[in-house]
Amino acid sequence: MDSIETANPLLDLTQGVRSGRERLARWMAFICAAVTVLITGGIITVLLVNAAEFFADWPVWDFLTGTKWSPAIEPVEYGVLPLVCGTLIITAGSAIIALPLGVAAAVYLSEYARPRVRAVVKPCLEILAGVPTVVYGYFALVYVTPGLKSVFPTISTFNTLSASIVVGIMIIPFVASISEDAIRAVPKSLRMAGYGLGASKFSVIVRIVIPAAFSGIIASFILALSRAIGETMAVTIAAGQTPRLVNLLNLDETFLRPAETMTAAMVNIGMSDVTGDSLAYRSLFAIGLVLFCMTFLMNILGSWVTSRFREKYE
Amino acid sequence: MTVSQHISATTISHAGKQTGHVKDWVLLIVCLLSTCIGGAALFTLLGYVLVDAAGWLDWQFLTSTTSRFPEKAGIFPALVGSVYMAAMLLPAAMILGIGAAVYLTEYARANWLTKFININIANLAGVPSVVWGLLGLGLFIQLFGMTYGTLLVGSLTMVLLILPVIIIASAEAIKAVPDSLRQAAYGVGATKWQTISRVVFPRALPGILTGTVLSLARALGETAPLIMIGVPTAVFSTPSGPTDKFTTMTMQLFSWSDYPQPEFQYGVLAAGVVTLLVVLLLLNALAIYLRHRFQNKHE
Amino acid sequence: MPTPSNQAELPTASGANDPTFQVSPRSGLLQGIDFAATKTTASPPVITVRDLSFWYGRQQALFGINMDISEQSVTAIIGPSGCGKSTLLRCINRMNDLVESTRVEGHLMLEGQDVYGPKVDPVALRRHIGMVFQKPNPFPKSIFDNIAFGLRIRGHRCKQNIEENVEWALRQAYLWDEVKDKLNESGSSLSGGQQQRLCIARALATKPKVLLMDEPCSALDPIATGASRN
Repeated sequence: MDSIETANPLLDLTQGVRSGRERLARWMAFICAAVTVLITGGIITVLLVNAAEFFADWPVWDFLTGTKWSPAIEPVEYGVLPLVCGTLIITAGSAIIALPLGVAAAVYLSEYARPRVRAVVKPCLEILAGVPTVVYGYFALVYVTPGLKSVFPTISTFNTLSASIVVGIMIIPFVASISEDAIRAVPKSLRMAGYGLGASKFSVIVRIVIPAAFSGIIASFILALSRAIGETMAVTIAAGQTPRLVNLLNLDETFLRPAETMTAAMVNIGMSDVTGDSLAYRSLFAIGLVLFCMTFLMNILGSWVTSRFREKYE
Repeated sequence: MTVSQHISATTISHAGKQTGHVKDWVLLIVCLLSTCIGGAALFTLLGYVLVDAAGWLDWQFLTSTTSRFPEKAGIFPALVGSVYMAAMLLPAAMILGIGAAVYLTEYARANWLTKFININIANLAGVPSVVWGLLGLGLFIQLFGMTYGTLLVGSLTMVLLILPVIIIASAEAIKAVPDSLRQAAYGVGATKWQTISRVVFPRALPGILTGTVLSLARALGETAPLIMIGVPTAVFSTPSGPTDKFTTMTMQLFSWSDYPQPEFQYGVLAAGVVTLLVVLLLLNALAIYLRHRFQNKHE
Repeated sequence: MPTPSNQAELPTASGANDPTFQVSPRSGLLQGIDFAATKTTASPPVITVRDLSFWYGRQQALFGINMDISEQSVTAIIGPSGCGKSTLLRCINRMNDLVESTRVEGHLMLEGQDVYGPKVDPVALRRHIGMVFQKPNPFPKSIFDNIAFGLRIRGHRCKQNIEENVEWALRQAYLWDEVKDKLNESGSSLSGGQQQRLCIARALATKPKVLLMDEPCSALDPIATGASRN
């Protein structure tokens, strides 16, 4: 290359501009991000290590298939099935409420509501999820259960129905928000095709839009139910502390009586005087492990379904 | 029209012809009602609790400690405990959260590690709050040997709990900054850090602050993790240092819900619930205000 | 066009050069054509491009460009849209480095140094080059802070010095008279044409050796374009 002679000295292009500070900034930021990985590692380690200690004394199989949960009262037994049953009852109950209402609300927000209405209603829905769960538990105990008594006079003070109702209300925004995203992602052209063929708005929504948004709606269900499974305070306060394995077909037994969920059982152990070395203490982590696995799998499934429906239309 | 189009058109239009309008209206009403019913239910419950709190929420309630006697019971130590916990967790959560968000949006290359970190954070956001309590129990108390139920352990556990949410909200805010601004900064010869700190971050600040304040509100509403780490349900004095035991409003409400007397159930508890909700309402209002104020500054 | 008097480092307008450009009819892309000046240039080339090829991933965008750009001159690159003009500009100050999976072959010399050399710091490079983009992109800061940004990141701290440079830059961009009373207002409060002149002033404030302007008036109306041309 020709060497250029200029009156000015050669430009210095190799001086690394503040490279030390730049590298420091990058490393600090990376450490912050790496902490999140450590946190997951921490959760998994803590659960596994302590659960393993528990299973050393109380075999896994007995734990997973045992039908009695009684950590404090003799005879002491650690069978998780009644707790899983309780969790399932409340999850199912809240699903019956939240899933239809959530999808219908999503349909309203995306298909009917004008933008200004939507801008107001959407945050209002989010408020439902913002109320602390202990407050929901309080509402269930103090207002919903007495209200239910007038309809079901035989209902117990602690019952799964009122817990299901408040948890259902609480997770409506989860269903509505994600379903709405899914419905809005359906291209306008599909709707236009339906109208063009002479379909009514009802037909377009029910026969075209919702089936097209189906995977997203399912994703919203999965994620909302994962939230319901992990719900603690509302069910502890409202559904009580009686672990029972229930004949689910007997509706009276299922909904009008108390039941203990996995999360409520954890709270009850945590509230009692258990020392760090006792079996009861370690059973906390065993339940926690089961709970974590359930919600983790559901979250992964939900995320995967979500990413699939997002890819479809982008 | 082809045959199949003709058939489907007939089917659809047949469904639409006579009953079409009615069905349309029914669907609209069903959807509208569904949207409102949750809010209406909550609204009703809030109404009940406000009415019940009427005689009980007074200055004495706000400044006393709890007691066996409903007339004397108050929420003061719990209120202070909540505030202290919030103050302690805020700096750590913001630094870690915003730092991680900056890394993921500005520095990270699109490789498997980044993808893994992102998926991981999304999963962490869905972990039940009680499991975070177990983490605090196993890590801080068992492993690090900290004492049960102190402000330090409580704040640390809550930092971990809200971290994923802060990261996600901050990352969204940073990603929303138009790329043309970054290009302008690089074009003038700014380094990466200069671009981030002087151009991107100020522009993303409203979103970041909003996300932070909302995460704080979430932290103040949590109970289960604090139970797991042994936070007492009642303390009789306000904590004076990070190693003091403390309680929060949520824990206090939980403990009061055990008292069967109607004065507690319908009086003291109601007052406590209203206090907690007012605090959260103020926080949410703050979030909205922050977003508006910073958005209008240099738009 | 008026010639700023004592700014030796700025490319100034002159009627001197009239390089001949050709665009290949085949693909509309700038191809390996030697751009030769029709008049002898008074000063040696500041920028020399030799066999420059550029890829976005697998898509090749520049095919063996050869070009000399002289000091103290205005060089215009003209061609149909999509032929690679922006790409070439962005190679000069290595803004293309910010895009993932790009590849460069060939040489691009700024005052004899290969800007793609192994030891070159792109940030240092960009501090000698100014750029004005197609759409105005003022920072969400005040007018003053927009211009001062380039100075401040270079470590300038003297307030008076910065103020002088800001005023000088705004005068160069023919914007001073319009904004001198509202320097603290937001840059975005200006009209489109004013914003673009603000961006020009921002680029000029650091007195770069080379000023790259990527279709700066394509987003503006004709009146604003006229003002900007000046």
